[in-house]
Amino acid sequence: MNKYILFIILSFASYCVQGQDERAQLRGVLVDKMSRQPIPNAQLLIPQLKILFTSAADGQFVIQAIPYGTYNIYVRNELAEVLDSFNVVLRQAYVALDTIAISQSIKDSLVLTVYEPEQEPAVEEDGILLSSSTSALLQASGTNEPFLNALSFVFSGVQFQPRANRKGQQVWLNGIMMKDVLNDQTNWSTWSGLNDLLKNPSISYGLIAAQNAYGGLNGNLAFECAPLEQSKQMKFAYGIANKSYQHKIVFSYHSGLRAHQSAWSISVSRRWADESYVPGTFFNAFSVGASWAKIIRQRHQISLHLIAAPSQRGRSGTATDEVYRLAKNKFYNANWGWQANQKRNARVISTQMPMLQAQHFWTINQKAQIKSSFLCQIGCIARQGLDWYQAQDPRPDYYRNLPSYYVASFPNIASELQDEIARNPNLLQIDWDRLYAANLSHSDSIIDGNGIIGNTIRGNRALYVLASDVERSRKIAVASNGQFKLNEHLFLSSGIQYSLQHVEYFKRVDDLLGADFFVNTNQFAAQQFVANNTMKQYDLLQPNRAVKEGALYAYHYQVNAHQAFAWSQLEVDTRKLHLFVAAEMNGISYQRIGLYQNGLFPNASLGKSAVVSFMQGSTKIGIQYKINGRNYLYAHCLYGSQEPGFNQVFISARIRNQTLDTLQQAHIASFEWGYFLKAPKLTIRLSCYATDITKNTVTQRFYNDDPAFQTYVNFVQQHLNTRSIGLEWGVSYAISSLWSVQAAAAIGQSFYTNNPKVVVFSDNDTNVHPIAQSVFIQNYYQGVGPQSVYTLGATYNSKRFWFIKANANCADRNYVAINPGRRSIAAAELIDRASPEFAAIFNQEKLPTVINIQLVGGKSIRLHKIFPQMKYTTTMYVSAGINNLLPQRADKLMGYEQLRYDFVNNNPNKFPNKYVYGTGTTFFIQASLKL
Amino acid sequence: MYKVYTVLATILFYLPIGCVKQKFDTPLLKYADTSLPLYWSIATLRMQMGNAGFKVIQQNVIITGIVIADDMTSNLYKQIIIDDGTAAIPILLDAYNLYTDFPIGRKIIVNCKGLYTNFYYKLPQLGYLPDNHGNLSPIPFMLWDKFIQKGALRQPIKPIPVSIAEAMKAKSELFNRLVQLQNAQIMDTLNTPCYAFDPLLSAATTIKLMDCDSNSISLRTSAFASFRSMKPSYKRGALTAIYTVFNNTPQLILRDTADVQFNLEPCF
Repeated sequence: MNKYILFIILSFASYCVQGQDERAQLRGVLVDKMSRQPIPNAQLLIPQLKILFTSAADGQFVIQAIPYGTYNIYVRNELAEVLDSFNVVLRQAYVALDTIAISQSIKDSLVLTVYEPEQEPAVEEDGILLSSSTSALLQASGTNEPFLNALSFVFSGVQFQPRANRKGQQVWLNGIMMKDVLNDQTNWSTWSGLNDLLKNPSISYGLIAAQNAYGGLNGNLAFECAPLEQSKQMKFAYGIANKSYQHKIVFSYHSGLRAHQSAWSISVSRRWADESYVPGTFFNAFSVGASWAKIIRQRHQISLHLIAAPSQRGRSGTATDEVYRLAKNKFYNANWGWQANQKRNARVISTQMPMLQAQHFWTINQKAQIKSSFLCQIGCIARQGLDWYQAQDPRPDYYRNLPSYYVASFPNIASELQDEIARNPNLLQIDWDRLYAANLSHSDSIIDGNGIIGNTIRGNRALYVLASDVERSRKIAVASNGQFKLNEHLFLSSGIQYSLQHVEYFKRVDDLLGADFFVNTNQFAAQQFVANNTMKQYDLLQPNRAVKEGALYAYHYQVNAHQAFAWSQLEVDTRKLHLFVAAEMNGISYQRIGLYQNGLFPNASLGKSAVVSFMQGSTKIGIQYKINGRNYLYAHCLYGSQEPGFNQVFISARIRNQTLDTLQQAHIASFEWGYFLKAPKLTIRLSCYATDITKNTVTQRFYNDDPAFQTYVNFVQQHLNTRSIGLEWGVSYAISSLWSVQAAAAIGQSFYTNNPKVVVFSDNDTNVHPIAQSVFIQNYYQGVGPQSVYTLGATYNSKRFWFIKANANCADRNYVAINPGRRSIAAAELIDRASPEFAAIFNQEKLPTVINIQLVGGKSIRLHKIFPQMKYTTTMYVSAGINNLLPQRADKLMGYEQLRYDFVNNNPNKFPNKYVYGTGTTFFIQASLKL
Repeated sequence: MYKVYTVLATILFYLPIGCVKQKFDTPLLKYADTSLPLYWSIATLRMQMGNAGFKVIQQNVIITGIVIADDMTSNLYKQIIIDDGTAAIPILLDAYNLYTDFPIGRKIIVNCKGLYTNFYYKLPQLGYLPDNHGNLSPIPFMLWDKFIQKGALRQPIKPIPVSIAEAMKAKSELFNRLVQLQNAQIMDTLNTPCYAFDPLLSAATTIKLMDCDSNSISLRTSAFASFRSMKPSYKRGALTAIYTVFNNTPQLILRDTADVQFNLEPCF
C-alpha cells in the first residue's frame, strides 16, 4: 500500500513543478588518447537536450546554459560517428572538466555495424521457448563500460542471458515502451536492419535509475529516430558473411537541419541468404525507415516516423545426440528436404509489423520537458510448419524411426538402420515427394461437407499440409514522459502509457501439397471419441468444412488486451550522494473472443470470455556514494509484482475460454550493489545481484506421448519460485596510446527454490479440473544458458586509422532446461534411489564448457586523399571479423530435456535431451562509403 | 549527382530481389517400373515358405501385388495385404497410417531378399527379423525404400466369391485374400450392439456371421478400429472381408463398414 501512496505523491509532484531556471557552463579540452594532441571540430552531442556543439581548433569547448542535471555526452567526429562518450553531472554554474582523452579510432562505429543483431520472433519447440539468436542487450552500443561492452558484443554470442532473465529489460522506441502486452516480450525483428536510423540508444543496466523510464530488472534501453541530430550525410554499405545472411546492402540518407528548422532521415537495408550457415535455412529481410522532424517556435518539436522491416527466415531446429551423430553434422537441420532439386524448409517465420509513430517534444521551460508519443502498429507474424491428419509423422527425426528405437529389441536392425542412413543421408531430411504422393493418392469424400446436409465434397483430401500459426496484431499506444527539475538537488521523472492491443490468432493452410482440400476436424478428438462426429469438429458453426489454401482451420480467436501504466522517479543529487526512489503501477486486462465453437467445448469456446484484470505495482530505491570523482559505490533494490501473461491465464486458449482457477501474480524482489571506477586509463565495474521471483506461473505446451494423453497438453506450474544471484565485473585498461586490454566476467547461479504444483490440462480433455501434483525441482538450475561467462581481450589502435581486436571467451556451467515432470513420484516409481537408473532420471546435465576466439578489425580511408576531386568528408570504411577461430570447434550452446517422458517404463532415454550447437568459424567483411 | 546515387541505390536493391525462392510446384507422381522381371508369384512364395517356421529369403526374389487391405480404419495394425491373383500375403511395416503410402488399390513391388516369412498362428506373413516372442518384426520405416517400390494407384480389385460353408473349411489358398460372402447376417443380434467393444474390455471382438443354412464364420474386429462403436446392420446380404485363420479357425477381417452390404431381410 505504501508504494502506491508514494507513487501518487510522486506523480502529483510532477505536475506541480516550481523552481529556478538554473543553468551551467561546461568547458573542457578534447585530446587524442594516443597522441594527446587536441581534437578540432569534434561534435559534442547531448541527446536529451538536443544540443550539438563543436570543439575549437585547439580542442577546447565551452557549452553555455546547460540545465542542471546528469548527462551522457557523446563525442562524434566530423562524419557524425560516435567516437566516445562520457558522463557529466552539472550541479553548479561553472563546471570545468579535466582534459578528456578520446580515441579517434573508428573502432566503435565499425563495431556497431559488425554486431548488427539478427533477431527473430521467439519460437517454441517441444514446449521450450527458444530465445532469440542474440540478447536484447546486444542493442546496447556506444558505451565504453567494459562489462556492458562484453554483454553486447561477446557474451550474447554464447546464449548468455544477463541475470538469467530473458524479459528483464524495458525497451523503448521513440518514447513508447515496445513490449507486447500479451506476453511481455519485445519483438526486435520489427525494426531490425535500421541501425543508421536508430542511433545513440540510451541504456541503463540493472536497477539503476533510468533516464526516461522506470526500467526493468535488467535495466532500460531506449532508441530514438532523431533526424535533427544527424549531420547531412549519405551512406552506402555492402557486406558479405556466412552467418544468417550472406549479403547485406544498406543505404541511408540524413538531410541534416534544413531551412524551416526541419530534418529528415531515411534508411533502407536488405539482408539475404539463399542458404544461411545451417543447411536448409534461408534469410530474406528488407527494412525501411523514414523519419521527419521539425522544430516549432524553439520550444516544440514534432516528428513522424515510419518503420517497416518485413522478413522471412527458414528456421533451423534442435536435435538429439543420436541424430547429430547419424547425420555426422553438428548443424543438422530436420526442417528441410529436397524438392525439385531445391532445399525446401518447412518451418518458415514471416514477420511483417510496420509501424507509424508521431512525437511531440515540448520544452516547457529550462526545468521541464515533456515528450508525448503515439504509436500505431499493424501486421502479422506467421510461423509455418507441417501439419497432418491421421498420417505418419513426417518429421525425419521422428523417434520411432531412429536406430535407438530398435536398440533394445533388435540391435541388428539398429545397426542396419545406421548403415542405411550413412548410405542415404537424405533419410534424415523431409521427403517432400512422399508427402505430395500421399496427398495425391488419397481420394476421399466429405459427407455433409461445409455443414450442408447432403453436400458431398469429393477430391484428394490432404493428409499433409503446410500451415501457419498466425498472430495478426493491431496495436495503438499513447505515452507521455516528462522530466522536471524541482530544485538544485531534486529531479523528477514521470510517465504514463496506455496500450490497446487486438490480436487475432488462427491457423491457416498455406500449401495443400497437391491435394484438393483439407478438413477442419480434430484428429486427436476423433481418436479419443470414436465415431462421434460432433466432438471432433473444430467449429460446430460449420462442421466438416473443406479447407482450401489460404483458409483458416483448427482455431480462431481474438484477444483484446489493455494496458495502462504510470511511473515516477525522484532523484536527489548532492556532492557526495545520489539517491533515487521510483514507483510504477501497471494495470492490464485480457479478454478472449472465440470465433470457433469447438466440438469438445461447445459452451466454453465461442464468444467473449470474462475479462481478466490485474493491477500491480513496483518500487525501487537506490543510493550512489561518490568516494571521489572517479570512485563510486552504489546499492539499489526493487520490490514489486508482475502479472501473468495471457497464455498463463487462459488454459489452452486455442480451444476454449477457460482460465486457471487461481490466478496469481508473481512477486519480485531484487537487490544489487557494486563499485565503479572511471580513471583516465582504467575503468572497473564490479557488482553483485540477487533476485527472487516467487509465486510465478509458467505454462508449457507440447505433444504428450504418454498413453494417457497422446495429444497436446498444457503443463502449468503454479507458485514457482526462482532465485538468481551473481557477480559481474568488467575491467578495461589502456596500456599505452596504442594498446588496451579488457576483461569481463559474469558468474551467477539461477535455480528453483521450491517444489511447485503442476496441473496438466489436455487440449482434448473435457475434464476441466485435473488433479494437481508436486514436482521436486528445488535447487535444480534454470535452463537459461551459461551461468558463468568470461572474456579477455586486447585492442590495438593504429595511428594510421585501423584497429584490430581479439577476444578469448569462455562460457561455462550451462545446464539443460529440465522437464519438471521427470522430477515427480510417477517418473521413478519403484526405482531404487541409489541406483544409476534413478540418477539418470533425476540428474541434470551440464553442457561442456565453450571456448572461442573472436577477431575483429577495420580501417577507414579518406578518399579525398586518393581522389582529390572528392569531398573532404568522403570516407570508405572496411571492416572484417572472424568468430570462433579455433578449428573444428562448435559446441553445444543450449539444451533441454524433452517435456514428454516415458512414464510406463521410466526410461529417460526414450525421449532424450535435445541440443543446439553454436556455429563453427564464421566471418564477415563489410565496406561502407560515406558521402 | 543525386540522380546517379538514386539509380545506383535502385539497382543495388532490386538486383537481389527474387534470390530466395519460396514457391514450389506440385511434383509429378513417380511410379515404379512394374515391368521388371518377376521371379516369383505370391503362390510360389507361399510354397517356398512350407508350413511352419521362419525362413529368410536369400535370393533376389521379386514379387508384386496390389494392396487389397490397409490400416485406414485401424482394423489392421502395422500391416498391409497384397494379392497378385495367385495368392495374397500380409507385409508387416513398422509405422502407423500405412494407408498414406500404400492405399488399397496401389500396386507394389517387393524385393524380398533379406526379408523373412513366418506363420502367425498358421497365417503366412512377410516381414523382417524374428523377435524374441517368435513373431516377425515389421520392416522399419527407413528400410522401406530398400525393399518396396510403389506402383500405380487405383488398380482394380475383385473379391473372390465364397460361401460360408466353403469358408468354414480353412482353405489355405484363400488365406489373406479378399473374399465376398453372400447371404450373410449376424447370428446374435441381441449381443452385438457394435462391431467391437471398448479396448478396456477386450482387444478384439468376434461376431458370428451365419447364412440361411445356419453355416457360421467369425468376423473379428479390433477394439481400435475406427468403426468399432458403430452399430452393424442386422439385415442380410453381401460382406467383403479378408479371409484369415487363427490356428485352424477361419476368421474374417473387415476393411471398412462400406464392405458390409446387408440390405435384405434376414433369414432368421
